[in-house]
Amino acid sequence: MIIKKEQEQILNYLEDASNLKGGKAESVFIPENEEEVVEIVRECSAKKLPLTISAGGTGVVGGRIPFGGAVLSTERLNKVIEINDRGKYAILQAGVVIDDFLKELSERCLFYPPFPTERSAFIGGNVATNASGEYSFKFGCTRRYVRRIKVVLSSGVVVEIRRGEVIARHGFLRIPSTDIEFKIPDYRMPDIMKNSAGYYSSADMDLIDLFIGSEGTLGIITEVEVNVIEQLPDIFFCAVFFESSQDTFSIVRELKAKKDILDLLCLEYFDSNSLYYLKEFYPRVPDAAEGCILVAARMSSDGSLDMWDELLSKYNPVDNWFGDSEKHKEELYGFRHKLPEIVNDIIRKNNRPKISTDIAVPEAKFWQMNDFYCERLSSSGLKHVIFGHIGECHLHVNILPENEEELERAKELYFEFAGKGIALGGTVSGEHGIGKRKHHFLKMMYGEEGIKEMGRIKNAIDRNCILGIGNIFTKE
Amino acid sequence: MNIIVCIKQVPETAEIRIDEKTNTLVREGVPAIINPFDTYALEEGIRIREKCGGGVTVLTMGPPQAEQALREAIAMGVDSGVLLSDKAFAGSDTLATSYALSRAIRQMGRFDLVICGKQAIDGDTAQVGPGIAEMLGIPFIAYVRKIEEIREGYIRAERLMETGYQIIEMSLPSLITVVKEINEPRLPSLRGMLKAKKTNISVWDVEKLGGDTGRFGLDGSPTQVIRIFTPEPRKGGEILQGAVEEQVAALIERLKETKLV
Repeated sequence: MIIKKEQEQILNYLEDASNLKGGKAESVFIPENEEEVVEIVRECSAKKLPLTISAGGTGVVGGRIPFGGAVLSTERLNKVIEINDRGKYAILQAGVVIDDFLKELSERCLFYPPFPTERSAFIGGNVATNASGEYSFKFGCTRRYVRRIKVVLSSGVVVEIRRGEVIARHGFLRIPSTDIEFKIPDYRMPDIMKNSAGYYSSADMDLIDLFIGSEGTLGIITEVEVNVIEQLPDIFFCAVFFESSQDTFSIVRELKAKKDILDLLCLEYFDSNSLYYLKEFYPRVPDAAEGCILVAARMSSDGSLDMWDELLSKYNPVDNWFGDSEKHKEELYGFRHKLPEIVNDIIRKNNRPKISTDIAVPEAKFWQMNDFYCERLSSSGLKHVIFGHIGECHLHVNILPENEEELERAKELYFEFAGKGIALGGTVSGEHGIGKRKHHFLKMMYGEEGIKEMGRIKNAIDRNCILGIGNIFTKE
Repeated sequence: MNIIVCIKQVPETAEIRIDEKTNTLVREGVPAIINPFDTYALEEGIRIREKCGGGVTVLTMGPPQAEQALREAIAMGVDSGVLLSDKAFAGSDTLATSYALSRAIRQMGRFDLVICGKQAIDGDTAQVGPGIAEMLGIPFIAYVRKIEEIREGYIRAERLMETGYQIIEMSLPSLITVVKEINEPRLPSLRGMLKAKKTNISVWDVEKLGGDTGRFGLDGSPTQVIRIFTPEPRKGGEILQGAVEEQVAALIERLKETKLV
């Protein structure tokens, strides 16, 4: 085990992709096996020392940033224990880097469907946050692929939970080989494609689902077993630019209706403001474009491109960029990822925080939500972009305030959007999670009572209340 | 304006393997791409057509699978493609390649501008572009980084130099080779992909080119490759240990041994 105490050596662990400031820790533990994890947890429990779990640091809500206490980094628990070609599953230690995992799979012509965009993420972090990824439109989130996890509880007990083995009965769940039993929450989760807000809850819920997405507040995941599938051949990417947002939205409707026929993996959207900012770096973005979609799909047969061409031409596209070679796909992928980078640069220059929403709503309410965004944003006069996972009814609104007054108005708007999203049956967090940033939105969503229910579960499992302090719950 | 763009299909890797017996590239198992410098030539050709009208033909010489490179160029927006493929072309050096390409260009009839990438990433010779111009008896500008003006019978371009650039005026028909500063190559379009799948690629053999048969392929190649090899990676060097005085003494000793002092 490595223990770092020098502040200089632990600076890395005090930040992540959230830009959240003020992280501090007295030490960082880097265990090399499960026994060492148990040892660390026991020690922290005995001292009632807060313990924050650190994975790849790609999170955007400050989940791994400690505010006091110690950090446990899973970086050395990085072995791929087994890849089973026939059974189509893989067993991994929590600190396996997604990129490494994907490469190993690819050598065996296998693939991990919910892989996140940030491939430096760890599998353990992905499970702890129920991460979603580039192809979640087709494949859904991490949760769906987790078969088994091994968790070290704050008591030091190691529990193995296999999907299907521990199901809630009469509203209660019991953790095997412990005396821990608790009531499952009464609140129900919204019926949507993606949700990363708070603890999972459903009447006949599986214990494994409580841990998936619990953001390091219930236990330390040390090992996971996930489903894998055969590699996907013949995928192409295509960015299509349209003259009007109406055409853009119309084609989105048709593509969603034909999702399966077209074998769509990903359906992303950029509004005209996004294109305006992107044009500086991609001069080829057509001047006339008011909206853009980026799709990834399978080229299932020789005729499938003809089908695509016919479909696109109904909506007056002004241009399209196609890529089926690795190089061209990477370029298109880079186009998608340039936008958040540009936004972050502007934010840094403005020296004001980014107001960035993560609201997802049910399919039937999506256009209502979208109209609400457009109307409120255009009347606000605030600089903004709307982009993201339109396939999953999950657009990100980023507001770019230039002064204090604008920042205040941007925050108010965010509250309005969250309120609207909840009223329409959606979630305040489709993928980013709650972390240390979005407690108030979680409360809006599940109410005071919902938070208390989660708190009771937290206290039942993490009795000394040391794990992931500040995540999901405020300190109190 | 009739534009001809010459391209080459090259292996997509920096780790090129060489067959020690034949001194040629091992192509098996290595994905092939359009020589990256040639994608700038294609883009510039398409841009000139977009501005001045006319057509762009892409030309390459290579084994039958080089047809794929032509289809990729068509997907970007080129109008048609010609592949020179014949066993008689095998073993061509830059001289024989320039000859074959120049013969093909003659066969294509009237043209205004030939565009090549500055060099191929596998051979790195930068000889074929200028070689074609010489054989066609037309003027050329190598290393063009910007076309300032182009119209019927006239081109003015900036040529990249080591210490700046030159502005050169030239009559058409002529040839340019381009550097990557000149543009940002576009991605293919869906329509382009469809067109690429459906377009017939003309395949020309040695007979079609006419000319002096002794100047094609191995017979027309005065270059003799004696050996091609991957250089040994540089060794890690030696770090002297000990106190400063000891290290200095050791260093002087070593320099004397190697007769550097």
